[in-house]
Amino acid sequence: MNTRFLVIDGYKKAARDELVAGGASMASDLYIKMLSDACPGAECDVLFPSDPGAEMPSGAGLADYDGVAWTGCSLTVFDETPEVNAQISLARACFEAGVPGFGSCWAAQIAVVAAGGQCRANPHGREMGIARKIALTPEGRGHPLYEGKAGVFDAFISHVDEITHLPSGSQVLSGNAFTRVQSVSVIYGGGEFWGLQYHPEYDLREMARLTWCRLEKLQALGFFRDRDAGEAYVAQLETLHQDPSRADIAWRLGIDDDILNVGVRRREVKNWITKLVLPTMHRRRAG
Amino acid sequence: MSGILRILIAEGNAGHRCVELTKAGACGGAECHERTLEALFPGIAITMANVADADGALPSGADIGAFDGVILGGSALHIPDIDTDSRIRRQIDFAAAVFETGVPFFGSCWGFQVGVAAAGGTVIESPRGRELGLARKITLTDAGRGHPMYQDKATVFDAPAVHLDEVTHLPSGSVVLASNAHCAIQAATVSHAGGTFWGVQYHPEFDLDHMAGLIGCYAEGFVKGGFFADEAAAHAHAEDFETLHNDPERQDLAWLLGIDDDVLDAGRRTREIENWITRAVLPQKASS
Repeated sequence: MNTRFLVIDGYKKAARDELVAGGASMASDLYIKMLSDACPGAECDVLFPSDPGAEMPSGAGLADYDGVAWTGCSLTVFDETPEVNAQISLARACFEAGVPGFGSCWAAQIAVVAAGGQCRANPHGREMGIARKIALTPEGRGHPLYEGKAGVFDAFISHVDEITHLPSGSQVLSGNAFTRVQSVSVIYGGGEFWGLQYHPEYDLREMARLTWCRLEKLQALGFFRDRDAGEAYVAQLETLHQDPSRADIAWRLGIDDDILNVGVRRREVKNWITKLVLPTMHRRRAG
Repeated sequence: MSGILRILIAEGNAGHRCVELTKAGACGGAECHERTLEALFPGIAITMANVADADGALPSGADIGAFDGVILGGSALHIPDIDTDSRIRRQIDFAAAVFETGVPFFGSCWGFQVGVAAAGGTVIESPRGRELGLARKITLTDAGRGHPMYQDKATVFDAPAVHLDEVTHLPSGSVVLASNAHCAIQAATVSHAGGTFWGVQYHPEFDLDHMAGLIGCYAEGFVKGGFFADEAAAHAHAEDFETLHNDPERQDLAWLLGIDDDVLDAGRRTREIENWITRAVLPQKASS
């Protein structure tokens, strides 16, 4: 029997459509691709919990999965809207079903909040493009999530909120100067979740298209002086994506192998599958 | 003991190279250190010496002992050429003499390599090629976290860097203090022949303006090295550095190029040099 994943894509339909119209991908498609690469034969179901009438799987339904993977999302975790509250409840149900959880950005925040922690708007503002100098904590250095990963690395990122308070049973696994909590492990209600504030599922092309979709906003925030500067940046990322031999672009923009090498970039995903999903799956299926 | 702090700064480049660098809007390695020290410690007494050229003012051992500290900065020379270039042997001998006097000794880049080589370590051309612009994600070792050179420095930081060679083997009595993916020994301390040397492979004394001058000066070689598609791209990059140097409000450029406060903030960038003065030079002066 193949490994079964539930991919939870919290974007509202309008937000998903906006990404696709701008040449970016739906977050769930990126996750399905990433999981399938890391775990050959993976079977992925997708849930869009922000869609009206979305049917939330319950305990038994969730327990049929070997792993639950949450994508990023453009919602704000401390907005008390029905969409957010529904996802917090869903995250709790996932913990209680005992299914290994993983996710990026919003996903880490929602897991922390579901388990009793807190998030807020990052006082440094938006962290965009590349999160630089993420350093593992002593707990991170000894955690299976980071087996084979360097103690310091860069990663793709795009967020304005950050985790500030962890529930008991949680550990901060990494941080950088911009965001103190760049990854967490949360153990709660019989389940375990490994969450990253950054995005291993992105590549240079996705980052380029996402930047393009957000150009006006990013320009208003001061990331680009004008639209031309933003479009030039997008073009540089796309050129480097198409031609990885353009070391001059990588050097100029400070993009190292930890971003360019997919094996390094997605080490955490591979580790989640081999160190948590598969062992849990074998144990549950044997039991 | 006199109250004035007297520092000898040695120039590791041949004189003609300094002229070339100055024309390009940069300067020799010693002058970079001079500016840094004058900004950090106004009133400091600095003596400059060219230790590369045969006709340069090479202080004898006794002269060196009259200083409170000695600094050797960057140079375009290569230690592996030692058998064929007397400018290198001259500087190794100078470094050996500094160790013998016991005067606190600091080196950056070439200065680091010379200090290590003089004490018996090994320097080779890096198998990873040139590290240019910023040395990224330099991480302190456990020993580095507890070393006075890194007091009040972040445990992970970027720093200006330009080097082709690197230290691969340290003499006994040495400790590696920092490292990154490009270069395993980004900083070390060496105790040898009664002297103590603090060295960094990067350039805390370089600001972006100087880096811009260097890139302009050596644009042709850097294009050949694959850092730029063509010379126009090199000059455009140098111009970005200058723009950011002159207007630190240009956060868009800092973000684009991945240049953080550890490089833009002079206090943070030059912390190692400040710590060398306050934690190595001044205590030794006070006890002498």
